[in-house]
Amino acid sequence: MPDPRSKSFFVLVALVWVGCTCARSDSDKSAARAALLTESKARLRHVSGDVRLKRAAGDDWIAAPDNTVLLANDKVRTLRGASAVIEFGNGSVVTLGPDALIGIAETNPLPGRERTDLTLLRGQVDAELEEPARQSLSVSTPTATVRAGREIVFQ
Amino acid sequence: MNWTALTSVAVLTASAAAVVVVQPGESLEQIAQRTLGDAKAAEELKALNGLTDDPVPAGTTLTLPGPERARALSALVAARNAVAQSGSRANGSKASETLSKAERLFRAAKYAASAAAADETWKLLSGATQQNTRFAIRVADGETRVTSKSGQAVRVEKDGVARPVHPGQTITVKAMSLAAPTPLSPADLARVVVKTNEKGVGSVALTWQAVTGAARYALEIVSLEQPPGKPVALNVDRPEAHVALPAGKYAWTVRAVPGEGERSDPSTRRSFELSVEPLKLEVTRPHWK
Repeated sequence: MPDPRSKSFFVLVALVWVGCTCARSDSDKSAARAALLTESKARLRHVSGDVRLKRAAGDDWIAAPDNTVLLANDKVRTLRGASAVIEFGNGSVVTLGPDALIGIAETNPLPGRERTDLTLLRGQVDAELEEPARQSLSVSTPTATVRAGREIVFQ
Repeated sequence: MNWTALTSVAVLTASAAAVVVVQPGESLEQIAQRTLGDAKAAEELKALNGLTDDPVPAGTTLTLPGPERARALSALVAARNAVAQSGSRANGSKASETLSKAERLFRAAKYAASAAAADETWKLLSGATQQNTRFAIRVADGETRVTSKSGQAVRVEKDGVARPVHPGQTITVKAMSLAAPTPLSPADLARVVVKTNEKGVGSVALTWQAVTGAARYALEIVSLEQPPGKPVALNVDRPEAHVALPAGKYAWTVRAVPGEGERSDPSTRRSFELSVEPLKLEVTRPHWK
């Protein structure tokens, strides 16, 4: 029969381990959040009408006010009659028309996958690069990838 | 992948800069290949770390290039292509000179200066496309429509094929219809025995072959018992589902569902008979009081 004192010891060790795990998990989360903040990719501007945002880590669609900072994997949806402009860090600008659904793409894609800035899932976007010699923009859709700017060259 | 190669390089990610520790018998080329994907980048590592000799003593910690290398490389690739295409343009030779300078600076790990020189090269050769590049993309009914309005042509890629769309042109990319999934298990007419849970139902695993382009799968299970129950409809992300069902006979089909567009036809119909073993509870007397 095991000694009850040794049982208590194991329970104590288990509690300490759980505590450490929780603490580490919290610090991991704040580190991830900090990393996300430094990786802000774009900003939502000229919001008109009902424009919603779903954060990468969230489940709910929330109202997206003007000047919202967009992070990797966030989604933006414009409802009927709504529109908004997304300004990317490199100066390229994308205007979302009504009934559009887009995702802000990964800042650092997995090896082997090409980088894209935006995923257009539904609706229309109008894109503009003021300095195509210096800027680039890539948009993926369910059926194609569109690239514009400096990185595109045709052989 | 070679396990020795995997273990020979220990890349430590730090908040400031990534570093790598040289392992015994490892050359700079090997480190460059492993960490930067290019053995020729050994010259950059050498410049970045102020090294004069190769091999580098084992245990030496080397600093790896930061994200500015990727930016410079991107500019450099664009400039290389632009020069290669410039043919006999008047400013081609001047562009070649600035490109050589950009390449030299890159090898010396002076990435910001290299990117600037590469941009200069691009500017020399892209005088005709200084106006804003504007284009529109529309996604509807499983189709992508791209219209180039001004400036440079844009590139539309699908399944590894790229096509330029010049200003004034429109291109439509249609979605391929998805193939119907092929059921894998359980085999048709199989008798599946599972253990029951506390609600008296057992969980059966249904699997099928993944379909390229499918974002998810729509599974439908119907009871073959009389009277027939309500069909069970499930959406799953992976080509498998674990479904809790009471004992009985069932038939199932699955469809592939794309991110946007039409679902595939249903798979061939499979049926199975589910037998549920009651859960055995064994209560033992505790050893301690």
